[in-house]
Amino acid sequence: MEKEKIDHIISKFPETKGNLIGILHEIQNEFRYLPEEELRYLSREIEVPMTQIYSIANFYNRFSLTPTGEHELCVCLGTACHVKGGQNVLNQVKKDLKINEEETTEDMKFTLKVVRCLGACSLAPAVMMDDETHSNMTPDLVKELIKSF
Amino acid sequence: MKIKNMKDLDKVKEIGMKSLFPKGPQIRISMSTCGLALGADDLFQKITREKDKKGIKISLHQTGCSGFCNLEPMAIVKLPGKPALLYTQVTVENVEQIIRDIKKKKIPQKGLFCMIGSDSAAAKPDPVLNAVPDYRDASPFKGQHRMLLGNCGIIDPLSVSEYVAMAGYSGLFKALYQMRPEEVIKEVVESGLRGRGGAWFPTGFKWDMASKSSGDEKFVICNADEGDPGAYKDRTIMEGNPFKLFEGIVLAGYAIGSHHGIIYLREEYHHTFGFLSNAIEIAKRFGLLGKNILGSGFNFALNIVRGGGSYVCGEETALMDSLEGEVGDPRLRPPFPIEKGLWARPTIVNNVETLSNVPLIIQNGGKWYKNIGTEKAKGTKILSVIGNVKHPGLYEIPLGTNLKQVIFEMAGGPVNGKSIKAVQVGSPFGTFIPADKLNVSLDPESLREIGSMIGSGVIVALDQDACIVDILHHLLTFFVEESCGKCVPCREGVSRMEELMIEIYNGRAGMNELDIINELGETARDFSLCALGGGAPAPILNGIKDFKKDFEAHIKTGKCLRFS
Repeated sequence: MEKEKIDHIISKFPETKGNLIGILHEIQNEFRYLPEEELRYLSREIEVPMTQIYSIANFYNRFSLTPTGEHELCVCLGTACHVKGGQNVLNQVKKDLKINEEETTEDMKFTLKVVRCLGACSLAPAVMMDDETHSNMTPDLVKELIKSF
Repeated sequence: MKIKNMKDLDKVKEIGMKSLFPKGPQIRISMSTCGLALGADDLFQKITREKDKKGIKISLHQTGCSGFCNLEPMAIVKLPGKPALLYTQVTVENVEQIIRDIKKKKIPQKGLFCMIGSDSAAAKPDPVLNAVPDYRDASPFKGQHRMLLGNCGIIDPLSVSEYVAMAGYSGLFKALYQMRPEEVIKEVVESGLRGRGGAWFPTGFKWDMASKSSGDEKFVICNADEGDPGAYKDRTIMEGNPFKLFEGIVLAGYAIGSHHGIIYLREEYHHTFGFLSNAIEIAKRFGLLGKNILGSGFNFALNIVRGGGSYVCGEETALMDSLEGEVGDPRLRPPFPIEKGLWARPTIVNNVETLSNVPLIIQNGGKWYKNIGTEKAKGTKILSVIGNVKHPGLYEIPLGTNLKQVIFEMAGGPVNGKSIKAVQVGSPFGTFIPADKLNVSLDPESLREIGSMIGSGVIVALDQDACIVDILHHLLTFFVEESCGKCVPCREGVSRMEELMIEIYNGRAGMNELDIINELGETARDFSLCALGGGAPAPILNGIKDFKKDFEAHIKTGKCLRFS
């Protein structure tokens, strides 16, 4: 277990009251998922029951309890993207990566997520690779995008 | 520097004016989420390299987004003695020519879209500009009333001085030095401002009640959990003019007697998070947040909290649960947040767009504000027009503007010679209005009359190729995913509706399944705990009623009109 990393993350929040989601964001970013042993340690350190941490990890889309890939590919299926063919983009990604939504490729390179609106609606269909938004996607373009990583 | 008095504010204003109207040439590049997605970063670097190579002095700035992301990357070029000119879809390949032209004091031609404020700049007539319209006459800006978005895409969003030069912080200065908190509330009540997040509750009324709630600690929450699919107006304000939002938040705090504000930001807005955090630090340095704001003695701290990617957390009570580090479950009301909100303290929750109206109201007065809009709905509304139209984007219009005009004139109507089949106003909860009924005023009252709503202002245009069953299926999947699961009518009712819709979509159900959907919908609508379950049935029930043909096609032939 990487105790120091958790200690460091906790120390960034002067008050733990109300900052549980913020702390979990940092852990998710650090480990690319929420590892159980680290969460148990966190629970003891900040005196928040494990049940509450678990329910939050489950409720919010951002958090994952299983390891995720090096890159996170979010395909937007908001209304604008749906109307403009986001589903075709998603199908292409599934075919190329051979995984379904919320799954990770065997080589741990990509995790596929579906989101409802990235707020880039006049660029629909849009996808987000890690923190970067890519616009006016087509099945061919998303194929190229995946290849470039 | 900290701004401590009127003299300081004037000094900052002067710096801002010099930066907005420089003596030498200037280029501004739009670099928010959408601009970056289309390569604004490369553009910025290329211009930097090119101007250094050519040894020409050009001041280079960043701006936010003007709401028309498909025209990005945009650039504003200002030459001495000429009005500012807006260029759209600028590419790295254009840069060398632009720099060459600027060096020769010539107006670059490629991508030239319109002039900005042609009458305000002391411009020498230039024959090149004869055919170039001012932005007020150039579609898609034509017909808009951009009092909230006006600065977006024009000023450097992280420059306090440029915002001050655009009359920024004059409202807050006036309030802190010349008005008592109750006078601020009086102006907001007088203005008739109502909540832009979708509920349209009178803002002044909410503030008045919160100011009268007892408690030594109160909170101002800015709801920036912009989750309605299709909405990005709040992101555009936050990335295009963050200080206007901060000014509105501090005014709210002063009005109700709160010293602590929180922006609850949508998880998916990664770029916005870093950007706003930076803007808060800058505001602190200028004495516009923190202790002794503008030298008035008033203290107000502001911080940002990121959500976890949950739609229901945009509902104000679920949002407060989330801020307390819990799962976002809507709470039973009463007690209302104004009495017992965050950490059981009196709290107001206002949307980004609502709060951004407040500086304008204080600066110009409630009387001025209430001249804009309809009898019951005052001011402007930012619409996010998406789907099958020529110019998707953000349109800020006075409330009461005609829907038909927005779709066909401002947004340019359908593409590829197709016709509009239906328009959903107030997506995702609004109903689909058939093409022959689009002659309606865009305000909460008129839309309610025809069974629809304005919501947060998302307008989805569908052309003849769209199938309502397909869209409703898509919407139901969204509602089911985002239901928090606390109450039965939403958790079970909406899920069953989705199951039935899938059966209908695949041609495995009969017409009587429609009756069951109707019955489930009515129950969810009437008995759900919050607006998610209560609102979800509206587009479904109306869709079944108004677009029977689409349903019949699926039920009888198992085929979607979309693919036939």
